[in-house]
Amino acid sequence: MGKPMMKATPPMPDRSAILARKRYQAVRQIVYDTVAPAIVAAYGTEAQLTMIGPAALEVSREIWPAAHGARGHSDQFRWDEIAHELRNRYDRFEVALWSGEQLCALCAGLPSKGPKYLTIRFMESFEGDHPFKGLVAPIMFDVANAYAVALERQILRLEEPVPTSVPICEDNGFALASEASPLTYYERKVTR
Amino acid sequence: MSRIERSMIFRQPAPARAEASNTDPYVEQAAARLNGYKSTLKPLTAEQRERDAAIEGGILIGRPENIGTPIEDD
Repeated sequence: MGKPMMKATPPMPDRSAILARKRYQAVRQIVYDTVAPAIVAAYGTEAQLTMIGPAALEVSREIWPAAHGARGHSDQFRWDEIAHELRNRYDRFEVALWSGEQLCALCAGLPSKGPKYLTIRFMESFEGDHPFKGLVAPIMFDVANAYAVALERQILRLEEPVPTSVPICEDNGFALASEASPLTYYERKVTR
Repeated sequence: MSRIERSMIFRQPAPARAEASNTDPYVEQAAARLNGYKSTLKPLTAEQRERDAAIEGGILIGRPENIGTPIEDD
């Protein structure tokens, strides 16, 4: 009879990692709580801002595709992959914009390791009708701006806005970044 | 998916803000920075909103092929 098989035990979660995860979750929640009333004040429509959790991922996977193509866009993000990619960056920027039970938009990005940037890397809105149609970008910019304030970043940066959304970005104060880069960035100063 | 099932999954767990913030000075400092935060949201004209509504829908920022690529940092 051979030796009994040793059952592999999962590594114990690192205490500092747990604290960091909770810390940034708390900061994001404060940001959501700060911006949600401003949305009502500006647009008169109640909004719920949450993390990109299982519910949001399920809607993006199972409900959003039904409306895909309604406006002739060819691409969609796989938000499960984005969430997976960012799962270990506890300081990530993420927000789901809801109207009641309807998921209207998702947005994610990262702060720089230094003090300079918060970069929005991914933003997508539901292609079907919803109460924030035409308002998604400024709302997401405001949530990101507030998170940048909380994390003391100086510049809000957009990575590769699609050409059709550039006029919206420019209306919201973003300008093409001058520095040479293989990627296209638009940026504006974070305001407090 | 039934409506009940949908309403179940739509319910997000509300993170306990106080649970983490009361014991973490970093969170308290972040909250202090946001105290009196001036929102960047501005009312849109009907024309602006109509134009933006026609543009919005689908991807606004980013490329699917950039998922998993490293970010250019400062």
